[in-house]
Amino acid sequence: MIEIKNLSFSYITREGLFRRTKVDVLRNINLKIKKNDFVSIIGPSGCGKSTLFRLIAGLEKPITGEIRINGKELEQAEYDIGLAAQNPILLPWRTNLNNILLVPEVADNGGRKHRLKEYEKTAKELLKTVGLEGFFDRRPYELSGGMQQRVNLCRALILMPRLLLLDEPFGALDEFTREELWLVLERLWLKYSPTIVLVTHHIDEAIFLSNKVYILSSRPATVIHEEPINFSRPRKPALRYTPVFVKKAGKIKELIVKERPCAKEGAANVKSLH
Amino acid sequence: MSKACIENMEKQTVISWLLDSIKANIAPIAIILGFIGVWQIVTIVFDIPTYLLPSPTRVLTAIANNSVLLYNETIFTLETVLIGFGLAVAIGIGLGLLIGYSPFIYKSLSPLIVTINAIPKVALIPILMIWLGLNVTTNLVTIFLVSFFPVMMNTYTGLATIEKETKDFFKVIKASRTDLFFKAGIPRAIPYILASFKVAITLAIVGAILAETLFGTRGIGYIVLFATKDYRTDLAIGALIIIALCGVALFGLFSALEKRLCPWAYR
Repeated sequence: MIEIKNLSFSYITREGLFRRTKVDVLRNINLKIKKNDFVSIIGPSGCGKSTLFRLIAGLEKPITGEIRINGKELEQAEYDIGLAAQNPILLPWRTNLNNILLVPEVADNGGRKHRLKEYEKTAKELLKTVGLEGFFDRRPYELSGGMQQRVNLCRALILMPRLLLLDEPFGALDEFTREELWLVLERLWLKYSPTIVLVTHHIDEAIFLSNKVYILSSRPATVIHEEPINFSRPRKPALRYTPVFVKKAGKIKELIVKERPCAKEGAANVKSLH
Repeated sequence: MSKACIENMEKQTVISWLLDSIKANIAPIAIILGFIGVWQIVTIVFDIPTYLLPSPTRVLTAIANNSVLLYNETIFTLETVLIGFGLAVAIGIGLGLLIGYSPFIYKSLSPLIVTINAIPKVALIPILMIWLGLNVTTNLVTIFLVSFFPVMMNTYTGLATIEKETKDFFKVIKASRTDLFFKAGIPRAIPYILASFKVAITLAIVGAILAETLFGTRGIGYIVLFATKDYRTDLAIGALIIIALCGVALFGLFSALEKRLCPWAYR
């Protein structure tokens, strides 16, 4: 289980020579994510979603508050994390299969190298699951954006991490490919059941994929709403156009729109007029 | 190239292949022939004295009459160019990898290296002559100094521009810095390094000719020097054309090598 308690984060920017400004990015975030759960984090653009993502990944250190995994602090927690972001950063000189095998080659300071044969089997199985059988020895640049993102997901899962962190993984894809990959991702989750935290700004994506959607406020971000999603699995593309789904999407959109800085200013202006 | 195209090529004779490649490169061939033609006509029409501007035919004659000399001196110059270039590549890549591996080493070494590179090499040659004597070592050191910098800088740039996302990814899976360097950095730097070869080989030739014209007793630069003393402009121009063609050939070789060795960078 991942528990985020009173997490705050800010950074200092320099303006000109002397002026320094503190920018609060996250304020008092509290979340509890159950083991094997699939949750999404959504919020207005620039709200600090990605910072939260980097904190959970251990790429930044919290200023106050803490992130605990199974009761241990993130740094001490022996917890494999898989990572996939919008830019698939596949290495162009390696084949798709070898891009995935790069992870066991170098992970844990090379500590998994001796089991490379096993991982090769897993990698092939993963590639088959995402529909890329026959593309093992192709290079990433021979694939479309959507296919590259499939390889990216496989690479994130090769160590069978207990936590899979996804930061806008489908952000650069067209709507059709995106929907296809939702199904792929759900299939992967149902098959391997890692805990998934998906950061996105696509409302339908968050609802379609997860069991719970956390909505963040504008900067400094804090959790303003938790929306449980209880559709049965596996979910079908048509679900997106059912009244229950559309209603949920409308509700979430309204909450986010209210959080836009200009909406807030607008509200303030209206107040001052009265 | 498509399969059908390759099969066609196998059926073709050498002559028709030659004709085809001429057809495909008609514009550059026309421009070069046009340039030579204009040059020939200008020398005839304006009756320019040979010591000022020899006609292309005079240059060709001079090349033919001095073919043994030109052959020997071209080999000498090319030998020094390739050895000096080899040194530049070895030391340039070595230094580039070193400063690319650690920002601390980069910060420590780069001011000195940049300063050395900023010294005008022409003015350095007389000093090198005092230090190293009038021998081939001075040629090699000049060539090295003129050409190592782009190799080093490109090696460094390839390593220094690893995407932040890649670094983050390696960090999250707890990979070592050495693995990041060898598995992501070096392969990434290879196209940069090969690109620098094209610049460095051209500079190496400049360096070689520079040294030869300043103090040499051998080489293409030396031919230019003694030929112009006798107003044998035709021989000097002939020598320069030969070395220029060598430069073009080496440039082409490295371009081909680039595309062969890292197809991912030239897709």
